[in-house]
Amino acid sequence: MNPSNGLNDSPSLDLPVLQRWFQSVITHPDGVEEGVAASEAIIPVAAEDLERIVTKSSRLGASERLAVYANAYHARLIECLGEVFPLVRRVVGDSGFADFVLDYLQDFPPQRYTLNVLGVHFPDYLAKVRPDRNTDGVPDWADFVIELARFEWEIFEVFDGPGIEKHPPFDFRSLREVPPDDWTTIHLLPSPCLRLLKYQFPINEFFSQARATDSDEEVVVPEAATSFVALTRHDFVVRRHSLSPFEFTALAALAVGNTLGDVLELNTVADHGQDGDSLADTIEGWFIRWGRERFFTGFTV
Amino acid sequence: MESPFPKVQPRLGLPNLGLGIGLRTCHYAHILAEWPEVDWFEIISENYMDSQGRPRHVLEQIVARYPVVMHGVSLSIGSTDPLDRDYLRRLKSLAEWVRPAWISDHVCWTGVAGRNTHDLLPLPLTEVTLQHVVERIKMVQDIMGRRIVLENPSTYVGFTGDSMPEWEFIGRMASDANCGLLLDVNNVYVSATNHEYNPVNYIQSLPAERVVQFHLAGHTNLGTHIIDTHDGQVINPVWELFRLAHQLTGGTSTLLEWDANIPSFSEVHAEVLKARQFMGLDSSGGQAGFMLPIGQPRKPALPQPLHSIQMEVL
Repeated sequence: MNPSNGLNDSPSLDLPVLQRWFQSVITHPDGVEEGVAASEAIIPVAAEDLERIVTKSSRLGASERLAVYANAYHARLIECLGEVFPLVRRVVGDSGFADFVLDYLQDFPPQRYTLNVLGVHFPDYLAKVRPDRNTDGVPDWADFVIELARFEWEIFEVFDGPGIEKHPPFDFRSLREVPPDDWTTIHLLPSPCLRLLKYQFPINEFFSQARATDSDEEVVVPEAATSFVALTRHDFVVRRHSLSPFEFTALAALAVGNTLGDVLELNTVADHGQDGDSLADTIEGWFIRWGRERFFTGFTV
Repeated sequence: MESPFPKVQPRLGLPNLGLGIGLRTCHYAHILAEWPEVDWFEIISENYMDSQGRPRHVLEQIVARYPVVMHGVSLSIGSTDPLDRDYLRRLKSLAEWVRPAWISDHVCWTGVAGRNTHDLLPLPLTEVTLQHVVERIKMVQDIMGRRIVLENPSTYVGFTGDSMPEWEFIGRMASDANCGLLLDVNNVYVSATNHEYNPVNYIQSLPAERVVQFHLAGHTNLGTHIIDTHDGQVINPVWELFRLAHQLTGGTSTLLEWDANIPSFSEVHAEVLKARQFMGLDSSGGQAGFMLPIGQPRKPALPQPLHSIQMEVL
């Protein structure tokens, strides 16, 4: 404490300036000394003169004391994103993940009062910095990491986003009350937590397998193979459902407002080799599952 | 010495809720299954302000059974950015739903220029800063329609331009803004060690009648400095400071924070119940604990708070 210190009277060290400088120093990706050098436009002080602004203790110099905040800033945000993207972190390794996050934070520093939105741009960031694609067009390791990040972000959003727990379950048997002539005009209303996802890799299967192993066990990136997944939530727990291509196509069409009639007329019916009887069985099976898993909240005619 | 400020009721008239613990995601299942006998819970406001999932669902059941206090980490009362009106609107909305005994945050700033570092950054302790913080507290209290409670943070740097000690800054702030104080006893110990001052003097200098809550927590001693990690048991010197604070205030709501390497609910609860041993007992034997022993360096440590929610996925 130094009440007579002239620095406090300096117009360049008023509170807004000091706060901008402090933030600039502790958030610099290369550490305090680089941060001080990069912040000279705010306060022109050299790293060796930091004690003009920040006090030292008998055990730590000013730079080391500032480093407590600098280290904490980066470690906290790496840890936060590591909880949102745990499998991406396992695939790229702790060090690689930290490097990605540090670089990501340069473009997308935290701005909101909540950390829950910090990762919203992370999958797109990974897509932006990915290495050049294979010339053979086959999805590669980078494609897998990006898809895994998109999947983990979808799960994060579904977990704490809008759900249907407060609403009564939609009983598909109520469709029987619709006159047969009107059946093809039925619109099913998708749950707000329903996500229909298509990937170039078996992401959902990888997710299950990886989670069944110890977190420090090495994971193997699977071969590319198109996969389809639905995410939902009930009883406040996120549920994952692998889908057939046919079911995914039907669900995707219904989710964007097509009628049951539209879906039945889709060429997917022919594509998937369903005759009338087997199609009826398939759809009945879907309805049972969609009802149980609460993919839809109701219907309109 | 006669206080220059009008006499106020102990704890500003707020109730003594007893011994509580911070609500953490990993304890949800135990709480919902057992409904343990805990005096009260403190929630991290930001974890519930936007929740439309399990965190909010769990909280709904807890507020129906226990007293709850809302503790925030993003008010940024000392920032020179404008107050975040959207944040305050959401905080008020949550408070109208939770009906907390009070709402608290920290004497700090978290970011400027539109950024939030999600850390509790230190303020220069000057007359200008004090006036700035007091004005903002009054604005927040007007918006929220209630008195707020502010906590002394752990700090790791001081500024050469500081013109008063932290206890004077916080005491005057509380009196001028007519707000409450959350006295984090562990933070006093951490900052006292890092800045090499006497924690007893700190606690004795605060306006005891404005202290409406205590925080207790563990920390990590790195030899050269202490980091407020909330990752272990409360050490004896901190308990002795708590004893002193309890005597000076006449006792008030006490809460244990445990945010890293969190053990079972029962262990966390047992830790806060240790406070009973330091309430109403003679303090003369505890002074030696204020000598601030520095232990052996441990692994790199992350200061709290880290407010995030763990997910359940099938």
